[in-house]
Amino acid sequence: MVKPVIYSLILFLVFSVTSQLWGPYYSKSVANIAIAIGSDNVSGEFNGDLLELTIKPEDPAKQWSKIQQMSVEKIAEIGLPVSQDSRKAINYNSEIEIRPVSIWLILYITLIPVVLKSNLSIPFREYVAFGVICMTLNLVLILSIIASLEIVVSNPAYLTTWDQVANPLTPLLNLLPCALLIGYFVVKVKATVNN
Amino acid sequence: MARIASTYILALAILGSLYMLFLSQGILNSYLNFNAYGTSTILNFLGQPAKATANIINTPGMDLKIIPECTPLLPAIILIASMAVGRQHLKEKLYGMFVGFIALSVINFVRTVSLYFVAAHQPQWFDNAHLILWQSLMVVLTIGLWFLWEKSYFQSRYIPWSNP
Repeated sequence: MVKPVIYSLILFLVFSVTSQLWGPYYSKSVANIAIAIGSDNVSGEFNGDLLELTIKPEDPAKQWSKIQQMSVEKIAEIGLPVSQDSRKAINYNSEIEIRPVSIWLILYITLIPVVLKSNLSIPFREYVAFGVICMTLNLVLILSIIASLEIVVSNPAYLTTWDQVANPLTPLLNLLPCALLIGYFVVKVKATVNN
Repeated sequence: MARIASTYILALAILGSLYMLFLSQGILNSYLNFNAYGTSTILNFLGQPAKATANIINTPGMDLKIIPECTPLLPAIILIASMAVGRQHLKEKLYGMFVGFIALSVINFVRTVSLYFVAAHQPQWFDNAHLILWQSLMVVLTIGLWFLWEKSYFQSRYIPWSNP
């Protein structure tokens, strides 16, 4: 087990230190796919490590009716740029730090020597398939952020809730593929021990 | 295998929900303050002028804000969920979780202190060290701690990660 761990440490050092070279390509590719899959009302631009999303309301009339249902205090609290005679659609801009999207990939690569060299019953094909699942999860999580923002834009009353609950959780989403990967290992080790 | 997987996912879901609840209720604020205070104390010990004000570490050159992701809570959630699926007795599991959390906390102080030095002396490396290197290292160390815990428990049995 010593050799695989040493190889793993070397891989970890190489891929984490050089992640500023390859990481943005992976993160931006995943984000671009998510934007392409998402609705036409969502557009995104990259500003360094930030993905700047602009979300337009799907139905400006519906958005306006939702705003009209809100109290003046609530509109002021949220900071919506509206006046009674203004019926222009209000877009929402949000920034997502996308670099940490590649963290699970570092863990995934780090664990490859352990998968190949230890006596754990992990077929490499299965491990590759699991990597695809983690990548898909990455994509689904970004899509879920975009979808939740679309809900907020169609009904700005949810903005406070989004800011308080969903927004602080976006960094947590990067760790979910890692948690899934660790869970996979835990299950495999336990299965080997039990056999 | 299905039981292990479902227990792990259930533990993750419960702990993750608690984390979200505590985060939204502001219950974690005093823990953030504790982490800022601990980091500034270590920096003082290392001869660096630093002072914690709530969750912000004030230094002459910069202010560092401790946010929930700067704490060992998220890796600890993964570690505790991993330990929860074992066949060990509850007492042993609780002991492992406690020691694991302390270990992650100590490692996290090394992380926050080292990030201060990176920010102070090599600011161009800060983003990579902060966003990628330390976050991924915390995850790798989490799985490493779990391996050590499992290995120590199964020392007298067949160990899948040792050569036969």
